[in-house]
Amino acid sequence: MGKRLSVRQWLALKLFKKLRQIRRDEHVLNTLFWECTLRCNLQCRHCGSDCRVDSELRDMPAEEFFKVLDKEITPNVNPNKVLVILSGGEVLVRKDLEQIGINLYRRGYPWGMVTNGLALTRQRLDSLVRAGLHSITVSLDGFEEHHLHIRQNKESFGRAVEAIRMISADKELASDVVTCVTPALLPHLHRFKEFLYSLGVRQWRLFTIFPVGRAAKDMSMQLNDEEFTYLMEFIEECRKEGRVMASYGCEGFLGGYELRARTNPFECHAGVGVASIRVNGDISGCTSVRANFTQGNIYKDSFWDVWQNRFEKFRNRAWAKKGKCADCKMWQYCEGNGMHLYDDDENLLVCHYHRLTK
Amino acid sequence: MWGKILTRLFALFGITLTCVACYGTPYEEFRPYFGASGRVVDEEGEPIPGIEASVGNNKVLTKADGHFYVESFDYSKLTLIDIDGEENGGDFERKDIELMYQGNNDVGDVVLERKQN
Repeated sequence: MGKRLSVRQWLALKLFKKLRQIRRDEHVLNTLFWECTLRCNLQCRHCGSDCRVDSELRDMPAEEFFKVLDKEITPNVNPNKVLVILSGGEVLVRKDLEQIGINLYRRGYPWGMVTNGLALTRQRLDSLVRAGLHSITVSLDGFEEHHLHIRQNKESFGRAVEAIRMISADKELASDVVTCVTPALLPHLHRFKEFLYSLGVRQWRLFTIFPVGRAAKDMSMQLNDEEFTYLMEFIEECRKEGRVMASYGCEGFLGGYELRARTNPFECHAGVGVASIRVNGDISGCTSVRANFTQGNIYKDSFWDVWQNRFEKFRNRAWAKKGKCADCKMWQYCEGNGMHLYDDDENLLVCHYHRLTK
Repeated sequence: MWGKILTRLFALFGITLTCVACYGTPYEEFRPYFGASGRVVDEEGEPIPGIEASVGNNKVLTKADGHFYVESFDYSKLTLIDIDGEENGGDFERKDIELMYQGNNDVGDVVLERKQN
């Protein structure tokens, strides 16, 4: 375990390497993020978007998004298999969310949203469900003291807990909880897992904070390498136990923890199966990928032309074989980690594999 | 072709290849959510076959035991209409029921009243 691959992992990763190339060549769109607002009702310490209560950028009007969807995307995909994820900011600040949902639903698109839960009342959830909400994720970053430290709003913990209770009770809704694990939460993870279980949570994604946005200035929220390795062991233990299916977020190649801390082998889907339309119209992979990797803009370019013919850096990662990656034996399985982990100069900020201490 | 074979091979070993995109939500394909099931009975509790149960544009007829299941992409309301007049136990009034939830809405026993002459 740790850095070394077992025979099973080696074999799976070798096979997956072939499949990854096929998937890149085919680049079938299966997830579309729409960053519909940058407004937010919280000001979290770790925010990667650097959102504000009143964003300087206007929300993208729904009709501008649907114009692209109807003209560029729907004729080229099976809408039933493209999950549209509304992201922000905090999407619940948009008052037309239900109308947007119904319009997606009527076109046959499954849709989901990520929320901090602060504004998710019973009434709002019911109206979103009636508008065809398929999938929802709520963020909870630990017990009250941990969550409040990050979220900086007294009501944020109680509201998020209530939101989690509601979404977990709805068996027709796909849902999970995401947690940004900080050094302060690490010693309490077992107890926190039990707390989530008591709320009805069965799917739990754990992230570590990477130095982008506000988090770049606050190193106290980042795990050191020993703590990171401990987190991988904790996730593996949870998975073996099987009560709460924990998994590490999609962002990093995990060496000997591949298929142990996650169900699927590492693959950055940005620009391969995942596209995003940012609030200013920019077209990219995931919304967390930095602006220097923007591939076009819906106000100037044809979305489908961009999706089909650009995204070279997302689909051919030869450019990333430099620095630590240049001589790394794991390159063939990892190909330079997640696209959102590159800075403005296209240098890798974090290598998860090299963080493993065992 | 090779992609499908490899995907199935991974599935055999319990390795899923759909992953939740960074800071996204669990992947879900579109599902016809607003379905309705139940049983149509008369005022005496006897099942009524042949009643048309529809949600949106999708229609089915109730079975001999009065049961039905209908689903639609087009969320709307459940409508029950007696389309065969006096056949199958009499002529019954139409009934509309709002479907409030995604997935199957079990509306239980729905009583249809006989039309007054």
